[in-house]
This record gives sequence, C-alpha cells and structure tokens, in this order.
Amino acid sequence: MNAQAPQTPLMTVAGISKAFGRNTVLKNVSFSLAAGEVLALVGENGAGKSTLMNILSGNLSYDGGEIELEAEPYRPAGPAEAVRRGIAIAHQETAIMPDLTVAENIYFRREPRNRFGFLRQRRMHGDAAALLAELGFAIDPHRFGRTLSAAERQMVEISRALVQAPRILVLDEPTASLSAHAADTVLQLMKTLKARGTSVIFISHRLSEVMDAADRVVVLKDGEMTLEATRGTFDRDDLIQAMVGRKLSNIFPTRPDLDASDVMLSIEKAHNSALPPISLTVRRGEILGIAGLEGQGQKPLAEALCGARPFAGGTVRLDGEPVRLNSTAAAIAAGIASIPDDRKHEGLALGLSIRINMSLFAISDASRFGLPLAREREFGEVARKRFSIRSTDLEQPVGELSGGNQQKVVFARWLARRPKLLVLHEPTKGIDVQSKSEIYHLVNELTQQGVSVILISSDLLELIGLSDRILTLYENKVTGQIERADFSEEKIMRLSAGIVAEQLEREGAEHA
Amino acid sequence: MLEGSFKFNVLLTLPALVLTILLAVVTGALSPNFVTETNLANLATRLLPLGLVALGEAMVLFAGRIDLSVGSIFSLSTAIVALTSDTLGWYAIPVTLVIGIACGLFNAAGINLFRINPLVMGLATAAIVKGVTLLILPSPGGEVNYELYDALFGSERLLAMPLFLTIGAYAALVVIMGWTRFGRSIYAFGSDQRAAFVNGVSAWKVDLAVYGVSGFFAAAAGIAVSIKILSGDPLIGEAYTLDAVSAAILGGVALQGGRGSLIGVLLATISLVLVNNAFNLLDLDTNFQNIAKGLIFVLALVFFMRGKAGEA
Repeated sequence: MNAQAPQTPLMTVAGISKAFGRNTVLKNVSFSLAAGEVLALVGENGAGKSTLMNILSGNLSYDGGEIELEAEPYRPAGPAEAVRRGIAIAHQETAIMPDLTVAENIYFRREPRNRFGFLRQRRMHGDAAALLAELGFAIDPHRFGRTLSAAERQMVEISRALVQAPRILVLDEPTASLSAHAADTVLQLMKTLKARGTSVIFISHRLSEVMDAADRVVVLKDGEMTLEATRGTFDRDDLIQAMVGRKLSNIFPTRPDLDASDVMLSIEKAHNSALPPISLTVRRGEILGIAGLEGQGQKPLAEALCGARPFAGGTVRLDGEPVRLNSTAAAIAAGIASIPDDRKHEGLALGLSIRINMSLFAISDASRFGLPLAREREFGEVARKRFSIRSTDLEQPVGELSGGNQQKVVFARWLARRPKLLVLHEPTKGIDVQSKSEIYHLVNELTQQGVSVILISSDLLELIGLSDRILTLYENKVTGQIERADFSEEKIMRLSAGIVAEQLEREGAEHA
Repeated sequence: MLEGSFKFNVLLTLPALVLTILLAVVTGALSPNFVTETNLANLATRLLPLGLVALGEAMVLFAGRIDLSVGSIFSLSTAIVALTSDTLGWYAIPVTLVIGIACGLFNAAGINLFRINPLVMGLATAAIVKGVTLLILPSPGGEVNYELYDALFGSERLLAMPLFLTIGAYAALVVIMGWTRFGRSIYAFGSDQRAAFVNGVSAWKVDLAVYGVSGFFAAAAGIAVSIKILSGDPLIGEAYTLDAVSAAILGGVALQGGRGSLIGVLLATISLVLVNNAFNLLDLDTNFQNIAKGLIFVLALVFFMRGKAGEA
C-alpha cells in the first residue's frame, strides 16, 4: 500500500506556528502530504489539531512558517479561497440547515441552475440521491435537516465537502458520532478517495482507525509535533506516548481490588420518558464506566441520577436505603454529587470568585443564615491546596481559570458535601493532561474513602484507564458489561454499536 | 418544479388558502354586495398597502429576524408624499422609497453591527421615525398631486393598477425566494444562522437585503395610502405592524425563520382584508374587528407552532 502512494508532495507544511495573543497554540509544525495520501492528525483535546485544521480551511491565518500547495504559497484569506484552491472540510460540529432538505444542504450555494439562473430543484435532488448512493450513505435526499440523526448529519456534511471536488478533503473527527458500521463506510470512503488521487486529512481519537486507514500520521501535543511517521513505522503505543507525552500507566492510578458484595447503588428497572427501564449496580468504592456513542442515553441517565429529569418509576437504592430522586435537591440530600458535561452552562458561575463558587451550596454544615467569610476562606484555601487549583488567589473569577482548574473547583465544591455517589459526565473534556491526571488520582482517592463513581465518558482511554467495570449504552439501553480484565477498545466499540454481548461471544468462539 | 423545501413551504400555505376561500364564501353568502365590481375594486385597493407591508415583513421573518418599524415607516412615507408631491410631482415616489430603504438599513446596521436585539431595534427605530414624522407633519394634512391618484386608483375596477402592483411584487419575490441561490441563502440564514455562516452566507448581506426590502415595501405601502387619501397622516401606519406580522404568520411563515412561502402571505393578506370587508358589509362594530384580528393572530401562532427542537 505504501509503495502505491505517489512521491511528489501535494502540500508541504513547513514550520508553521500560530499564537492567540501570548498563547502559542501551534509551534513549528511541519509535514507533507502527497496526492492520494491519507494523513491522520492525532492528539488530545487542545493539542492544536483544530487550529491546524482551521488554518488549512482558511478560517485562521498563520503567523510563522510556510504552507505550499502544488508548489504555490498557500495563505488563504478565507474559506472560499481554500475551496478554490481545492481544500474542503467536513466539520465535526456539522453545519446543517434544519429547514433545508438533505440535497439542498449538500449543494448549498452550489445548486445546479438553468440558463436563467434559477435553481433546478428536481435535478439537484436526483444528483444528491446518486451521490449518496455512490458514497454508501443510506439517506433520502428529500429528508429535512432537522430530522437527521447525529450520524446522518455527519454523512451529509462529508457529502457536502465532496461536492466541492477537493484535492484535499479534511475530515474533523468524521467517525466520532458514527456507529461501527457507519464508521466503516467512512473509512471505506477514504480508501476510495485515495484510489482516485484525492488526499485526505482526518482527525480521529480512535487509534484503531488511525492504524487501519492512515498512510501517514502526525501527532500533536500542546501545539508541538511529537511524531510524524509513515505507515508501518509506528504502533499504537508510539501514538499514545506521543499524544500524552508519557506512558499511560503514569496518568492513571492503579485501582485496588474490590469487595464484590458491598453494593452502594442499585437501580432496578428505573425509567422515565427519555429512558427505557434500566438496571445497574455500583459497588462501594467502585468506578463504573459508561461507554457509548454520542446521544445513546448517557445524558438522560446522568440527569435522572442527579434529579434534573427524575425517574418516573422503578427503584433506586443508595447504600441500602430506597431513595426518591425527584429533584436535584433530593439527589443532593440523598448523597449524590453530579458533575455535568457542560461546565460553562451547568456547573459554575464564571464571573464569581473561586471562593464564592466553592461555597455555593457546598458547605452543608455551615450556618443556616449565611456563611462567615472566615470559614469560606479557610475552606477555600484548604480545597485550593488539596486539589492543586492553580490561580492567583481565592478571589480570582473562575472564568479566568483554565478548563482543568475550573473542573477542580467543581470537584472541590461537591466533595465538601461528602457524597456517597459521584456521577461524572465527561469530567475531563477539553482539559490538559496534567489536570486530567490530577483529577484521575483524585477520583481514585475518593473511592478509597468509600465513594462510588459513575463515569460517563466518550474518551475510551479514560474509561479503560480508570473504570473497574464498563457498561455500554446503545439506543438508551445497556448492551453489555465488560470487566476490567477484558477491557479493550474494540470490545467497547462493538458493544457501543449495538452488537449485543452474546453475539460478540459467538463471534469470538468462531474465531477460536 | 415543486421539490424539496420549496414544496414544503408551498404546503404551508394551505391553511391560508382554505381560510381565504372560506371567508370569501361566507361573506359572499351573507352579503349581496360582496361580489360587485365596486366592492372587489375596493378589496384590491385595501389589499395593496397591507399586501406590500406584509411582503416586506415576511422577507425579514424568513431570515429569522423581525421588523417592528414598518408601521412607522409607513406613516412617515405618507407624510413625505403629502409634503413633497406638490413640488416634486412623480419624483416624490422614488425619494420616499429611498428614505424607506434608509430606515431599513438603519435597522440592519443596529442589528448586525451593534448586535441589538431585532425586537428592540424595531421598537427604537419605530420611535425615532414616529418622532420625525410628527415633527414634519404634526397632524393629518398636506396635499397629494391628484395626477398620482388618477394613475393609481383612477379606474375603479378589480383588474387595475392596485391588483397588478400587488401581484407583480409578490410574483417577483416568490421567484427570488423559491428559485434563486439568494433566496435559498435567506431561508438558510433564518433556519440556522451559524450553519449558514459556516457555509459562506454573509449575515450582513442578508440583514441589509431583508431590512432594505422591508423598508422599501413599507414606504411603497405608505405612498399608496397617501395617494388614496390624497394627504398624509402621521399615525395611519400604526396598525399595519401587527397586521403585517399577523399576515405572515397566518400565511405559514415561521416566526423563528427559515420556513414559509410568500404565496401564503398573499393569501393571508387577502383573508385579513376579507375579514375587514365582512365587518363593513355586515355592519359590525369595528372594535370587534380588532378583537377578531388579534384572535386570528394568536390562533395562527398556535396552529403553526413549531415543536421542540429536534422533533421530526
């Protein structure tokens, strides 16, 4: 395969850098891309992948270095110029107009017109049907944008990029919201494009995909390129090492063995309008990972547990006692602490100081009629040290802190209530590795004090590294359970794609 | 021809079509004076100003915005025509239209450049324009060149200038909205601003276009009325703002943007004119008319209410 890739570079990126104010987000990144080559761009959140992609797609300019496209300097003034030069992008955050049909979305601003300049609607829908069929996407072009699932939106987004007939197609996490089958379709598509001589740059968090599809890989960490390698010269461990800058074993704590009998939380056939009956148990001190593609019931589950959207029936027992989680206040009173996936909107008052954010309904044994400032300060200082929150002082507004430090404030606030169960929803999204590791160790420490944790995450490394047991959700139902000894990315992915456990075992038996 | 979102938008006009036919049949059955040349010509004369204001308002609503200043621009236009048509003659018309467009651009600038909420911006512009109008024409008066009246309303028949102008304006914009990339961009912007922007639609161009068009048609409607009453009236346009929004909603245009067809807006305008006509023909209290119009507006909003985000 490697031998087939043409040798003349279509694009060369030579030492480019980019800074926002004093914050350097890309430092001296260099790589080249040949025609018909598939390049994977890998890195953690905040590593600079998006910045690099936005530079290529003309949304951002670059400060230093030089990009050449077909031996001409490439410095697009905007997305339109990027498209003219042959670079099209399919964003992860799709831009689908809800009131336009699939065909109208795909051909938006490139609609076929008759000689009077009027749109040819019928022809366009026909073209779209043919295009979608060719790409292997089973979507009716007459459907409206608002009826599409996340996966279908992604497919429409990719189709739209391809209509621009690009020399280089940039795919931003194209498979993040796709089931295993749909992801295979996209990977197959990349191979088809490659065969036609179109180059592909794709961003992915799924290392198995990178290993499978990429001719070349570029790994970014904190804006710097930590690895550039061609197919066959790298393996998974090299990628992980380059992504996080150290071995996985140093990021995640070592989990102790658990007493299997001591149940902290048991949910039996609990359900509400968003969630069909679900049953699960979490042992004392256990970290239960919940895996699944985007939107498979994780949010309803988290919301039900924290009382925001309560269960309508079924039983929930916490520490042996039946509890009714009818409101957020009831959940808090029962001993459930919840850290939502969206810190900016659900957890913190960004304009207020660290001290006030920590004491907001945090200190349960405080005076009923207000909290003495001195106690707030004392509590705040202790927490700031314990959680190693990096800030100038306690009075700094939370909005000025980095994502990781904001998250630590949220933790500090909840832990002051000594919860029995901690529900974490994407706890490290957009957080640097150092803070991540600190949070992981903190969670581990808590479980040793008997706190149980439900960890809902889309980050497979995090789930595998931290959980004692993983449940997979698909279409709001539990499709499987994996014990620590059997953890693997592939297994989680397959169960997450709705392939039930029995089927997986059967397949395993056939292979053996 | 009818395919995709365009087809869907035309389907949204069905309720307005049914309502129009129903009102025409009921009024016709109740009053022998309904189907007479005089009454039909009268209907067309009334259709022209409301039709034009509603047309401009619908364009703004397609883009997910709203223009609450159309009534004031309407009044201002009657005042300008009344004060200038003696000296300027025919030229009073383009001058007034340009001023109408300028008011629209003022709205666009506030909303787009200074990020002022469209509702609030419309109210502010309305207050400013109303103030200016009352300064130049404190009470109804002025005079309009009779030649203009003759040209526009001279023939008192159904198939005459008022109807032709209304149909012509709608036809032109139906084509632009349904069959051009520009129209598609306005729908896209109203449907999801961010998505449209990412796909290369310029918010500034959309705002300029829709508010410019809205100002233009509000002015055109004011011109028509001032010619009809041969004078200016600084407060005559007040009621037109609500009627215009009401007609657009009744015609199937989504208040949130991105949906609806001008065909429905025209039908809904005809319905509102018919309601008015029925009240007159049947000799009912005009206060009931306002109540009826308000209720129709609320019912239309409920009827076309868009479900929660994400529903099919």
